[in-house]
Amino acid sequence: MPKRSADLVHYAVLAVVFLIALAVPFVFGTLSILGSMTVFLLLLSWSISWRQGDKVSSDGKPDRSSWLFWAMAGVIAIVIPIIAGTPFLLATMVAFFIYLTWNTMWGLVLGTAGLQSFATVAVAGIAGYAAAYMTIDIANSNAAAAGAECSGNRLLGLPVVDWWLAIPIAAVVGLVVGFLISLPAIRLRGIYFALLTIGLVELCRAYTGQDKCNLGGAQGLFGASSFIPSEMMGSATGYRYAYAAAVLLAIVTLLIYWKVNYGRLGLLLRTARESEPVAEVLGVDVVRARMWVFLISSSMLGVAGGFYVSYYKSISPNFFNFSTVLLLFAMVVIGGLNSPRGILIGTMLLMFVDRRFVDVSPPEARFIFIGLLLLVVTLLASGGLVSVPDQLRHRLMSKGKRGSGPSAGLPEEVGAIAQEANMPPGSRPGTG
Amino acid sequence: MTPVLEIKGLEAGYGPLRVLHGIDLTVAEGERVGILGLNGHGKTTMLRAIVDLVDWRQGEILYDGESIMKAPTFALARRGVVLMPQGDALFPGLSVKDNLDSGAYPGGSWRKRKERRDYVCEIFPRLSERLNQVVGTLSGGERRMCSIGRGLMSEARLYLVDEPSLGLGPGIAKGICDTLMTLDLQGGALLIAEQNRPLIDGKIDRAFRMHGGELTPDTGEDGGH
Amino acid sequence: MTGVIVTTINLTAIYALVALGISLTWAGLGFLNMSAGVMYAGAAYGAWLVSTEISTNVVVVLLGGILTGIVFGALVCLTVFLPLDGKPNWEIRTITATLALSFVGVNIYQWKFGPQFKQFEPLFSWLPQFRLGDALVKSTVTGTVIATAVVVTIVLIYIGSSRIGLGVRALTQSAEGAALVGINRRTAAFAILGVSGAFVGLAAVLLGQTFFVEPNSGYVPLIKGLIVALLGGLGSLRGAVIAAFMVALCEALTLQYFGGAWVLITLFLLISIVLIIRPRGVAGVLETTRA
Repeated sequence: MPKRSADLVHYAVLAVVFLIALAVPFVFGTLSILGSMTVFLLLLSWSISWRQGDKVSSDGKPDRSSWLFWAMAGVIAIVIPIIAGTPFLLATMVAFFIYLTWNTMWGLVLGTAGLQSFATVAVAGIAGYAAAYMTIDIANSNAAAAGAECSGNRLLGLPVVDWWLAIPIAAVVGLVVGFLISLPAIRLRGIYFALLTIGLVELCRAYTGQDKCNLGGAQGLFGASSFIPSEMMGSATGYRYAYAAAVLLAIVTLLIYWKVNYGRLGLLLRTARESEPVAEVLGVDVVRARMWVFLISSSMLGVAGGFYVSYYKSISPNFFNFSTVLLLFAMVVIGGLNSPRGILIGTMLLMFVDRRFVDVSPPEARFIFIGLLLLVVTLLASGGLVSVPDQLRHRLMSKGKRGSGPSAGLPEEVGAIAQEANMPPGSRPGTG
Repeated sequence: MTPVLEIKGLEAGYGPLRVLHGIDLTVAEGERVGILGLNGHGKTTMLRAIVDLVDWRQGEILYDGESIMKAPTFALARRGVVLMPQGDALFPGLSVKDNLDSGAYPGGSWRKRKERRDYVCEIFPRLSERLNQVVGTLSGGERRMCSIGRGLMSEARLYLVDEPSLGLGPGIAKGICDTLMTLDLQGGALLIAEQNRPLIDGKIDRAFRMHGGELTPDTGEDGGH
Repeated sequence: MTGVIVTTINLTAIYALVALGISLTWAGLGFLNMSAGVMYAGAAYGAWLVSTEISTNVVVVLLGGILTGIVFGALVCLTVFLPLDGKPNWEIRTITATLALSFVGVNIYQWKFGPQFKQFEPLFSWLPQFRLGDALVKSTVTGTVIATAVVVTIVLIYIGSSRIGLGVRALTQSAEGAALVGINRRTAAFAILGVSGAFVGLAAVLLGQTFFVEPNSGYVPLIKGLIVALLGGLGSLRGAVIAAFMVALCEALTLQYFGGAWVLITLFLLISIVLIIRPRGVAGVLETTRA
């Protein structure tokens, strides 16, 4: 049984890599576990895609063997607080899970639906501000500071609430903002929509920086109600508690992603992404499908925004900085925005790089490195890091030379030929 | 003498789709060769495969005895292989004059563009009246004239003409085909794909039939299954 | 009121420059150059270095900015266009690559030049100031308008009459047609990004007369250039000029009657309204052929 033994060798190698990855934090410090696990998960993902071959596309249905990937991801999530549970690493991981939530939901819009929205930061930030506003009595505390300029009244006489009410409110705010953003998406295409959403983020930054009375101006809002009970605050237990909550958030997010991306809605969205006219002919209500994906992702973005505020207890206009947009965007695309594996790996990788080199001098070096990394991956890998095996296989299998000319649409006759074609076995796999 | 064009075992297609299943063809200097056959059998793909406008291709194509399998489209145009494509591929926002001049883009022709333009206007007098008009506003027949005229702007050695009659009224189609067939090839060669047999019958040196991605010598009967 | 007109004309000139660069790149090469902001800041630093190290002569400084812009354009061509041309997932990868490039660029500026503001010596102080109605037309405004007019005219004549220029124009219309007549997309790409860099570089020097230069100073021109290019309809040069005027007028009116804090908000409203009425911008028809 050569295949059987090849399998055994294969799993043995992966197991060894995993053990090495586990040992790394004992040598290089706790933070390095994030890096070593990124490498392990990337290798695992590559081996799964490579062995799976062309049976299922990386974009289509959930691949049969990907359970191993997610099982290992779960194991890693459990193992980390046990073997590397320092407050610093746990805090990093909480931030990681919040980013993962945002990125996964962004991936749904950017990848599955193919809508070039940059509004993720705006939705999360607006919801975060809403959550902060609901738990902080800024009007009273600011009226004294800002003098007669501010009225001292809360907008609409809203009551001050606790975090457990503020997070659902953030979700609703996210939903509403998502709905509003989905309206222009019906008419605007591609780049135009990208610009409008970048503009929205910029608008949020400008506005939150201006409004001293309600949103605290450039300092932002601080002192929000935290979900960590006050007696645990700052203690190791408090960090574990936050870690568990963040893991829960990420699991819910991934389940939502799974349900949408591999469900009916995902299929409709992908059809519409590939060809809108075809989707319409097939009876897909493109507008409705796109609206749904915005509503679903935005409410989850809102939840994560509320979670962010409740964890950090503050939010400021810097949240809307273009560098935040860029960092999140880099996380989404560097791993591969068409699969949850890619988004997970990309987020882990950049989170690790960002934190690992945080005190490197000059401080710009870290960003230059991240930017170069993103550039190199973008230029070399067609669909992010996780797509490398598919790309390699295509290159190995394509016997014929690829046309280097500008492939501007197919000539008309191809449609007719495709209809009666008996696709010859062993012909080149599709490029789509 | 080396033929202008020699195709050996050419296969080509788009993505997983194989359109051409091994084409062999030789075109000698001064020859006019016709490819007949119904729509959807690979005539267009064959012409496009010669100038590397397909997704993938394999086999061998020799131009003046040299392999051109590695040459990109623009380089072939500079070496004198001119495709007058289906759908014309003109520049709709530019004037007729600019469109014609673009045909003289390959190095040596650029300086002679005024003479060549006069030559094209002689062949298609309709164009000379519309030199400053934007191509997007022309009629179908005028656009075809412009597309063919653009192909004549450089001194090409191999003309590839794809369905010059497509979408035109019978009168204009005949006029355009007659013009093409009486061109002075100056030692070059012409390969024309046409569905409408009577338009080129008797004006070409040899004819082939394209059926299901395979090329067979023409038997004289009209196409069909 | 004449104050508004003067501001509008000044801003129109500068926004049109940046937007022309972005629009031309889109039409000819099919990608949105998100690194235009970094090209802008780079050209501003280049011109600033020229003015401090070499000469403060107007022509020299302007040429310094334009040439640095051209170098940056060539750099974008080498690092983004050439490696990605004809590759899958073109649209998202070009956006990502140009964004990455701008991320790298801004941080390099921060590192090399520090966050301090750099200021140009006034370039146009030798031009006379004059009054137009109740507004004072500063020499900078006059200089901006003249310099823009001269450079844009030279470039338009070049593009309109030269062989390379015809290649560039052909490429903006049909990629397949361009290949069929022998136009090498990759060579033309250098011309397109070079012209685009020259425009952006000129805008950087001109706007540097009013605003300071700092590592992030390209961000606002990028956003406004994008707004103008999209508003005008990507690929339409005439549309870009009309849109530049609209945006400049909107900005000048807002500045005059509401104050600087409102500029972004009214601008955002303006683009929302225009794009909802005309989703492809004022004159955008080319997108259908490229998309």
